Amino acid sequence: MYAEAFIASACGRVMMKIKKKYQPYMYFIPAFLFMGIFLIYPLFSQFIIAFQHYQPFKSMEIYFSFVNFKKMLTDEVLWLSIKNTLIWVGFSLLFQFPLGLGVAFLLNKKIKGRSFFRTIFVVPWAISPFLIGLIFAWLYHGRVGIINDVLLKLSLIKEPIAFLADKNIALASIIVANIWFGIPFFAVILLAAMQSIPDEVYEAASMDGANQVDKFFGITVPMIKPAMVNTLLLRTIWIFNFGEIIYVMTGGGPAHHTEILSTYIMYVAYYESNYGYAAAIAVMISIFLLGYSIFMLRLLRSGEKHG
Amino acid sequence: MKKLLFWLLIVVLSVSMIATFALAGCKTEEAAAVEEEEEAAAVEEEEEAAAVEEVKEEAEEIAIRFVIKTWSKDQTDNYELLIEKFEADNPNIKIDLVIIPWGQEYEKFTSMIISGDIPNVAESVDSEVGLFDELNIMLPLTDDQISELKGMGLDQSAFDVSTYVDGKIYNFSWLSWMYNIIYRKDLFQEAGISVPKTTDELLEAAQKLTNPSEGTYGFSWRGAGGLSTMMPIILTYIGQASWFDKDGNCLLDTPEGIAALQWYYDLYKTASPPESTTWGYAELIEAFWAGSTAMYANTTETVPPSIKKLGEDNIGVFKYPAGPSGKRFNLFSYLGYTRFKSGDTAKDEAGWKFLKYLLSEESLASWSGMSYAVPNAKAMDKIFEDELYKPFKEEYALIDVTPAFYPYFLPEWQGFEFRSTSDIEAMVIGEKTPAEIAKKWADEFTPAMKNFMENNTGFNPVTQKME
Repeated sequence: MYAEAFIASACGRVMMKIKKKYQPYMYFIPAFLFMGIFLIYPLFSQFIIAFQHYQPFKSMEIYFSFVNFKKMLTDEVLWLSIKNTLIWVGFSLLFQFPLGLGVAFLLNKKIKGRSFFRTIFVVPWAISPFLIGLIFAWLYHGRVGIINDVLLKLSLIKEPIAFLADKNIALASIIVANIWFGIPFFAVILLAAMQSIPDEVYEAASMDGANQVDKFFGITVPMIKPAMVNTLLLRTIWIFNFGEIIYVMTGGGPAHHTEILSTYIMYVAYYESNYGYAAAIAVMISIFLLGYSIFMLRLLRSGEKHG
Repeated sequence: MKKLLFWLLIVVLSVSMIATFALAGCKTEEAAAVEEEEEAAAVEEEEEAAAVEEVKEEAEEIAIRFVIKTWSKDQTDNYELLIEKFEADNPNIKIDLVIIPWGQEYEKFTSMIISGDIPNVAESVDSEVGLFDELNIMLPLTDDQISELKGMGLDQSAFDVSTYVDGKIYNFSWLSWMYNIIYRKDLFQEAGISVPKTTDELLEAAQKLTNPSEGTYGFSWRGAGGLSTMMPIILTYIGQASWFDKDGNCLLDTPEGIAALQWYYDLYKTASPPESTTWGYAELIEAFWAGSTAMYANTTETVPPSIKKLGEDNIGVFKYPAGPSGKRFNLFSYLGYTRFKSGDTAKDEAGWKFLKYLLSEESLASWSGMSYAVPNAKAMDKIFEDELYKPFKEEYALIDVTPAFYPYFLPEWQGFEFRSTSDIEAMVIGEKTPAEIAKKWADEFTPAMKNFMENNTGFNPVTQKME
């Protein structure tokens, strides 16, 4: 009787120990399985395909070759796409971030109709990128678009500007659409970060004689730095892979002048049926973005240490 | 005594054993008869069960997936109506309709196929057949099925333009496309211009109608244009319906081929809106309606919206004019129905039944009024009874025109129609010359055709048929 009770309690203790030790890991399992199936496996598979001449459904001869990576060195369209991607990401962020920060700063002020403005500023982010692409394509239209119409009526131009067909300004025209689309994301996240700063900090600074500029750069910016780094990191990755607006507005044209890496991958995979090469470009993007993420996270950590 | 009893016991036992065996033997015969009866009853029962199962199977619902590529609500609505009728007539067949929007059809349908999501029946364009053939996923029409279709009153041209691989039809044409030039009659009349009969006259007319300071242009392509709209011009310069000579050399970079591209470039540079390079259909038609452009090349279904907007008197259609060769060509492209292997005979049969229904006179006639060119003479007559469609009707009847087709049988053709758009854009924005583009295309297709000819002895690249 005692022996049974002893065994039962010993088993219970062992089970509890196991449960305590492994329970947290059990919670990971669903997420890990989900990520494994939908993220890790495709990434791994993409990495393998990058070294092969892949044709769907065909039995593949497994070989390891750098042919796809060598091709990158001589592919003019790829280099044009890399250049376009850097311009696309750089200029989009250059305007989205400060404008988003400015909007967040203004919306953080106690102004009349603050809730209304906060709602209004989120609208572009709520619209489908495809719809935004269509709206801007019509705004830029040479015959019926409002932008050319206004410029013509103000006699600022003699002929309609080919916003999306002129290779020198097509990318810039799409970047404008992307800037408009992306400002709310920065505004919302940075506004939330600003609202977490206690008013007492600003009051203390005021008592010490700090003006608005001092408060902004001395209190607001340092305190919202983690949010700034995170939003910049996320937006960079998103814009890097964000080809929807381009697809709708120009399809990468004219003659690849608005092609970015993500749209070029689609072009190579579907129109050239070269899945191996498309995977190789995707691997290159993944490595680049991984390096960028590590850099940004280190920057954040170093800030935290020094802070 | 003991001995006697012993022997008596042996005799009794022996007799009882013999009697037992004898009786057993008798019982086995009886049992065999009973078993036979039972077996017969069981077989009968089994047969009855099989018959019931068969009836049950017949009544069991067979679901087949049907993929359409849609560009208008009318098209989707009509398909939904046809499916409703078919399901009412065939209660055991359920059609799962998958709708792919036009404009993304190539990417989406290819993605479906390569990910193994293969439908039973689908609308497919001729250029996709090469890929499907490589993947060995299509079901050809059998001789009996072809005879059955022929008995349904379909035009011979529908069989002629359907896609054959190794002599078998894999993609049966249901909707033909062919481009003609749609123009603003009112703008032509104002400028005192008559309908062009040659490529030179067309260029001249477009230039006369162009006045950039007023924002008016003679012609506009859809974007920088594409092979579909460009081919009739290239072919009339080359003077034959195929891009290749008898040895498989691509003729696009011959002086005639380059001259055709130069003509195209001149029309674009001197008579088309500069911003039209990246226009889609919506932008093109809006400019046409606004009177900013006077001509565009397109298929029949773009005519009714223009009539509705501008009135029948202001719209006209003329055929692609003849070039230096004096001969006229038009590119016949089409959307067809392809059946795919499912590994399930019942589904394959249901797919065939559904395909037959789609190609029935009743179904084809339902497209009447939507200006679609369908492979049925009676249905087409209803569609094209309007005088405005005469040029289309004559082209379909092959009056004074030689039909041309894409070299869809070449694996290199896959995606080329889309890839070529970037090249045409590079040409019209002045990054590449017509000669450079012609050479690039010829360098891609000459080895492709020669390779194809090596693997298909007897193939004639001029007629594009096995001889």
